[in-house]
Amino acid sequence: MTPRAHSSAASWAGALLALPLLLFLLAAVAWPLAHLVRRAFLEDGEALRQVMAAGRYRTALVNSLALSAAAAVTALLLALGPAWILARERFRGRQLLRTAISLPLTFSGVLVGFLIVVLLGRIGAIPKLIEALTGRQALEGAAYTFGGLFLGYVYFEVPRAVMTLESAFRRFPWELDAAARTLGARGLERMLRIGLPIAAPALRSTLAVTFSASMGSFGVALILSRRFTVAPLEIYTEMTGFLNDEVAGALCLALALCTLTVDRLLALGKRR
Amino acid sequence: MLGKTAIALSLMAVAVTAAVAQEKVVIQYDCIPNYANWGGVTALYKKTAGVTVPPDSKGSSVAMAALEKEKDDPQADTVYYSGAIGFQAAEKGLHEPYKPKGWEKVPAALKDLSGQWWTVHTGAIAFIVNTKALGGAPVPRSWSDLLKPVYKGKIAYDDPTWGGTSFTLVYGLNGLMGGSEKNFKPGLAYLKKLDANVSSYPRESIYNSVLRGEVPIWINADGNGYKMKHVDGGPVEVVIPAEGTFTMPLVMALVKGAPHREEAKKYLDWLLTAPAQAEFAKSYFRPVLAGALPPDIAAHFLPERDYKRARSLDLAKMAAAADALKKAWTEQIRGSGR
Amino acid sequence: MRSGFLRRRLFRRTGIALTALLALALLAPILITAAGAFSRAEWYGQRSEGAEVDSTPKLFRYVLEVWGRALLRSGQIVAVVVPLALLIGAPAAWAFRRLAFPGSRLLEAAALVPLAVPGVALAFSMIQCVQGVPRFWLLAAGHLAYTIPLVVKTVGNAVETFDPRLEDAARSMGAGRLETAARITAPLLLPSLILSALLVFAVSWGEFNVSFLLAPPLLQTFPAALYLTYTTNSFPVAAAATLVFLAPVVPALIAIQALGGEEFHRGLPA
Repeated sequence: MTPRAHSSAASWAGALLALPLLLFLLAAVAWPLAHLVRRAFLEDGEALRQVMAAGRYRTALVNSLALSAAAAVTALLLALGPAWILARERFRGRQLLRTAISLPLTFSGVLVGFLIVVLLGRIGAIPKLIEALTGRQALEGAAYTFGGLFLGYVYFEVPRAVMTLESAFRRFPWELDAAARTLGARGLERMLRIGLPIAAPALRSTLAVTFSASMGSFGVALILSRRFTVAPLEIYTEMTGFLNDEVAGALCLALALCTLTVDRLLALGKRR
Repeated sequence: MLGKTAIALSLMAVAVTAAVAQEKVVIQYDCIPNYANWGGVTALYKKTAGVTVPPDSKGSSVAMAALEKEKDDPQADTVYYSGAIGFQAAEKGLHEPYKPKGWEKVPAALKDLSGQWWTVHTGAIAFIVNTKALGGAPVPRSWSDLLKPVYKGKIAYDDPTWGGTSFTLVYGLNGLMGGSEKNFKPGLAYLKKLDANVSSYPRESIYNSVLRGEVPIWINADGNGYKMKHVDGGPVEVVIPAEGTFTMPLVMALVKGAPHREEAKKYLDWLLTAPAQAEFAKSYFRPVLAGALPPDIAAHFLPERDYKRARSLDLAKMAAAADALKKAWTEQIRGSGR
Repeated sequence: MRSGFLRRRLFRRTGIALTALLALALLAPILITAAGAFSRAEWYGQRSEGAEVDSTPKLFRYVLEVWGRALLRSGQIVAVVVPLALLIGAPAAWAFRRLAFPGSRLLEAAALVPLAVPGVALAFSMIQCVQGVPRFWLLAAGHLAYTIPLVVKTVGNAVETFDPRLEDAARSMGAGRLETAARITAPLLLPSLILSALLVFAVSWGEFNVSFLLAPPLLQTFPAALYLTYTTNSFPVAAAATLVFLAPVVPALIAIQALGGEEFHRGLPA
């Protein structure tokens, strides 16, 4: 909806109403982040180089990126079917399923980590079940492996992906699809040439939401990661263990930059 | 109806806020409920004096780092550490010298003579083994046993850059293997080999994990193991390794610039009284006050001849080597963080 | 044609079944946890916790006793963050749509940027550069950074859906600006304001990343307490604490669903 033309007095009123927001963003977000950038580049440039060079920090950043990307894609794939069904079909229990799937949205990261331990810790529910059914011991302590951390991320992302995609699918212009079918286009062709292009913005925004949530994920990693480090954990360790503020700051910057870059890249070309 | 509920909730909120505002608190850094029975000790203090000491999960080194960071605006009143870290923190000027009531009863070797820190109880490093979780493997009896492939993925010890107990372990092992405060190579070489069998280096107390069988072998203070066995009834055996082990004093200090200074002093005084020391004894850490260890609890310890293998370590040398050793451990053992 | 119809039905049935399976998989661990809080089974570590928890009411009382202060702090933060987020975000969202000024689109986009900044980084940079501010307000600011965008989006979407001519009509009939705002705009916006409040509540209640790093011991919020129970307490205590945590947010979530809250897709920060 394009804003209607109005008087400059109205514009002033608008600016006044938005002033608290502007002030808040400047004071609470822009100022600290600018300080971070300044310290990392100007005062402690050494730290930034240290972070980028090979070693624990780079591994942590790479792990964060790899895990977040993999979890985002996996969550998206898992969410496609359910999102479609929830958006398109009417059936009894639909609202119940929606509520159930969106319940984990209220779970903090630490809670998700704990739940994975409940499932896959050394005396988790799944290993116990496997042992009861087959008598063999398997998957004990899987929660603390790379796979466990990955699963934690996916568990965290799937509800987000489902709900984001569902709202996008609900707005799908079905008339286009029906028209294409009348014109003789087959299922696959319709999906590739109409469905995908229309769904692409939704898929992109889903990926952006899940990716940035994973990159910032701290609670999950605190509970689950044992031998694998991810960037937020390294930041925490540097802050509290070594008092190494320079490195922590550089890591923060690197992490924030990576996340913002991917987020903006995914947003490119999205129509408002 | 809605209005009434809202009023009721607001009144409750006001009441609770008032209660919390009036509450007397003493903040202790490193107050892990399951370690040395701090949970029981602080609960007893609340009953005795009405003062709350909230739990705090910082390990010794992290507590020291926090104190350093907060130097200009201290948040903590008292702090608890493993001896070496306490020694180091005192050198950094983070404590206010204080001699609590009962000071004379603490042996000279276990306190800083000017009052910067003093021991409240001692422990010894041991293997805490959950026999049920070993999965058929034999109980390890020596440091060299731990290197055997049968224990792969079964061992854990706390991150020495987080907790003082583990730092004592790393430093002591280095000495045992032939190194010194200037030469870390022997200790780190052993730890590197051990790393193949280690499942994790936790930065928190994994007492409950070991009890549940999530971690079969925990190298930590013997008291924790005895408590698991005799209080929680877990399938746990405590082992003092054949080659020898190390004792460590666990110390308290008054933080410089403590926000609740007077209450903190009363608390520190109380920790050296018989009831507090008896409470520590319940977790199988040896109280510093002579005669405070009840005979029935003493009976549960391993025989004296095992403890002959436990040597004490020089706190000053440990403190001097602390930063370098922690750094070396992080680089060589923690390494590139898989 | 008939085979196509049958195929569609099969597709639909399978899809629903798979969706139900996903829901079950997501719910399973929380159900197990709830069972842990209410079961009478003997769990390792209970006895030495100094709590004598041998019954469910005592278990919850123990949790509230030890972590009551954290619960209160969470409540205090939420009580401050919800009104502030609405006050800062809602007028701005309305202004962006109705009273656009140069730079309003830029500002609106900027309001959403904090969502892409990892909480750890924001918390760390706040600690670094704002030395004198009381920690409580720093904490509130951190929460606001992640909740104001939700308000802006929710209220903005709502403003877009109702016809501006309603307001014009009122003005043309002689109502002053304030009266129009009070009697036309506010009631129309009320559902989105309530929805925003619920969203802010849910996100602020569960916020961990910023709170864990920013808050000194006496100000720690309930999610930090949760973390402590997970790492140092026995399973029943952890399970009970989890249920205490979830008790206020689950109703909020159901209400959000009922009001059609789309902006909760981001959920909580991890």
